[in-house]
Amino acid sequence: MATSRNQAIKTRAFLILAGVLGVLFVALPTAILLSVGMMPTLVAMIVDMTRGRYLTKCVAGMNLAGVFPFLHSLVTTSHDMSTAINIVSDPFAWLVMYSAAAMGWLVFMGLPGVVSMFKVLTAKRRIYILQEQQRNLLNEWGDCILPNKDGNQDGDDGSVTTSSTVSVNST
Amino acid sequence: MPPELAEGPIVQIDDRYRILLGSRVPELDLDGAEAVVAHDDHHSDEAVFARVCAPHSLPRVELMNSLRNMKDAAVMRPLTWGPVPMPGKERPRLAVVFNRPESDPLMAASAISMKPIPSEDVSRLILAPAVLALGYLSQRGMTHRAIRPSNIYWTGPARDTIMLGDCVTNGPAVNQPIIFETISSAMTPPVGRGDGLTSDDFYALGVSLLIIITGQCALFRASNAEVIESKVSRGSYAALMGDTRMTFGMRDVLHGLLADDVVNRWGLTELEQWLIGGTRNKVQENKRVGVARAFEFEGKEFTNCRALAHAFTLHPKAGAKAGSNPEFAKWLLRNIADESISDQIGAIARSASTSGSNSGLNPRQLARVCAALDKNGPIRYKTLIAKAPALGNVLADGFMRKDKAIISLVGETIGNGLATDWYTAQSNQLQLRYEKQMMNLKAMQTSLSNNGIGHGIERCLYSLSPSFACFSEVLEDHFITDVRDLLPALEEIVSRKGKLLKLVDRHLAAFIAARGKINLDRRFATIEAAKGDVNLIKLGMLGILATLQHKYGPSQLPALTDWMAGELEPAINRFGSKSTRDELLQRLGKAGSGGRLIELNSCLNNEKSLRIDEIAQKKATREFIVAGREIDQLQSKAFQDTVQELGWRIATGISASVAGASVIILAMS
Repeated sequence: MATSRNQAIKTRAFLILAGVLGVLFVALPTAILLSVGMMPTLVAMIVDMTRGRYLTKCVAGMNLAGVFPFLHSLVTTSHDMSTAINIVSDPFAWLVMYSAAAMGWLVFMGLPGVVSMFKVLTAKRRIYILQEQQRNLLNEWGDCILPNKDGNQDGDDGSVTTSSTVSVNST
Repeated sequence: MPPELAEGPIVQIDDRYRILLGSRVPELDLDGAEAVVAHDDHHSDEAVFARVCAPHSLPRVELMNSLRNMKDAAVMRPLTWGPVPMPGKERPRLAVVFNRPESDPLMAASAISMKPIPSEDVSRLILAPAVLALGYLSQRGMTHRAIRPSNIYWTGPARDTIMLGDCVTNGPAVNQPIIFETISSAMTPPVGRGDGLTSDDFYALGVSLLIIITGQCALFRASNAEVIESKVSRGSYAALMGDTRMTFGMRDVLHGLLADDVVNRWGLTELEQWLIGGTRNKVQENKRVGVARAFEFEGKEFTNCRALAHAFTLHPKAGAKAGSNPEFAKWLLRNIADESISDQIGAIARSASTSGSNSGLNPRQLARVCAALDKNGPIRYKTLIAKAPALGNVLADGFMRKDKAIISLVGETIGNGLATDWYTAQSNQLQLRYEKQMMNLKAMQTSLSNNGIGHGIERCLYSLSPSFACFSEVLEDHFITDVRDLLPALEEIVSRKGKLLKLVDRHLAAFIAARGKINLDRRFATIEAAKGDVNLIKLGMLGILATLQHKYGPSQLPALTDWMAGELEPAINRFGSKSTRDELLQRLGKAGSGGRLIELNSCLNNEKSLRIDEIAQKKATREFIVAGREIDQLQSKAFQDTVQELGWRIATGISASVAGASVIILAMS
């Protein structure tokens, strides 16, 4: 059983190696450009601790957007080593590719805060409305609607924490 | 100064009759009922007088209602009646207005002899009109129960006919001297005699005729015990006649009327036949069947079951022992022809011996033994001696005298089935006659087992004693026997005093339950289900009073409704919703001033609204809980995490979109 699994791993590694060697042999200029241009994505992949690997995805998308014009230029011209070397040795190309990746990183770091701010504001508004609703209910019905109140048919509902009720009363 | 001008309070009844309470007319007094001057304001030439019923008396109001319209019957008819206030704390008494008799009674009340009237005149002047009057009463199922020479009046311009006197200002036969009563009735205390039967009236008529014809009676001077003993041992006719000789024709009549066996006693048919001269077989002499050997009890020898039952009642401890003694059973078997008596008593004695009691029969068993010995006699239970139809009167008397022992005894008698046993022991003919009363008694047996408001001994009181006025202290000085008069009386009290003493009262509830011809069982069940909740009980009473107003009126009860609205305001708190309470409060104010208890009831006793309120309360509770949950969720760490993840997702989406756009743009260029 263990022998067959090792065999499968070995086969897969061989296939990957063969694929990489094949790509290097067929599209070496593209490989050189991608390996240099997509370096920030590799870094992001290494440092990404989020569960859905959102940092990697975010940086990769923007990084690719920065790399793709140069890749397009390489593929649509001669697709040779000299052109690839020219691109990777051009500081402007580096600036464009790494700035795009940096933008991706910034979006990853900044956007959740903005979204969270909006969501929290919305939640606060919602909490206010709910507390207002609870206050109105208490004004209309009195304590008898409080959970765990004697004579309250629904009061034995243990799923409600008392903290929320207390906070409403104190409001 | 003539008595008419004497000073004293004046009470007006029916806006017509003025009663001068301070002007006594002693010659028209009847037993405890005091006669006073009265004036008819509509017909000033009409000679009327009023009798103020004695304290603790039991006026026969039901009979008054029937008798008032019987203008053809030669009976002293009540013209009207009403309560008259009494000084001090005494409860009001009933005053009954009558036409003043044209002449004196046949015999003065205090006299023990009178001038004899020839028997040929008696049949024409007295017997014929008396039979006619009793015929009228009998047709309507009524009895007079106060026939005696001192309560029979001469009438007519030439004193050529008679009128039976007052029979309504006291309970049936309550003031009747014992010689005018049949043996079983004589053995019963006055209040326990009851309405009896028309045959009881004929018996009293027979005794009266005997006195009228002979001018006296052999037993007039005898004590009650001697009268009973004499009648039991010799038979009524022989005992009452003594050595008196009677004319041939009249002797038959007296024989017939004084027959101790009710089956043989002359009634309407026989008397009418005799009066028109028809032949009538002579009544058999009351045969005193002798027994081979007397039974000795308490130093006396008894040869008669009825007398023995009476003696057992007078000496209950000795009776309990004697009744369970096998010698007694043997004596019955050997000497009493009716084997059913010895069978019944034997069975009772055996059940007593199996229960292992050393003191013989228990009171109930002794009562059953007495009932077996004298099935036409009264119920004899502990110290209670009464005929079953009179239990209501005994109960009423007990309440008036605040005699808890007798009240309890009546309750026991009904509860343990002795009263229904009395009815079932009667002949089939009598059972048919008593059918309604028996049904009523069975209903009371059930009611007694329920001690809730509207049931219990009070319900028995008002059901079994239909003439008894409501005894509730809430009614203060009002004398209410008809449920129609109840609400106007309560209205009067509230408008005068601003409130009722209390709203919920056992007597009031029982009175309504017994006298109102409405099925209020559901209402009483609601009160019972309230389990002491004052507001719910009050609401129950409101429902009952509202039903009364709906059924009997009056349409407007402003003071009572307003007071009840205030009294029942706390009941609004049954509703959980504040807006509903506010709305009800407004409606309550309007209903309170509207004078309609029905409105008030529909406002406060609305089960549908209550159910809607309960449902809304449950919904509100759920909404409160759901809102609480949502607040908790919005304030939770999980929510913060979700929001952050959402931000990342959006960032990833933007990044992917930019990449995709750049690829597409370059690919298309």
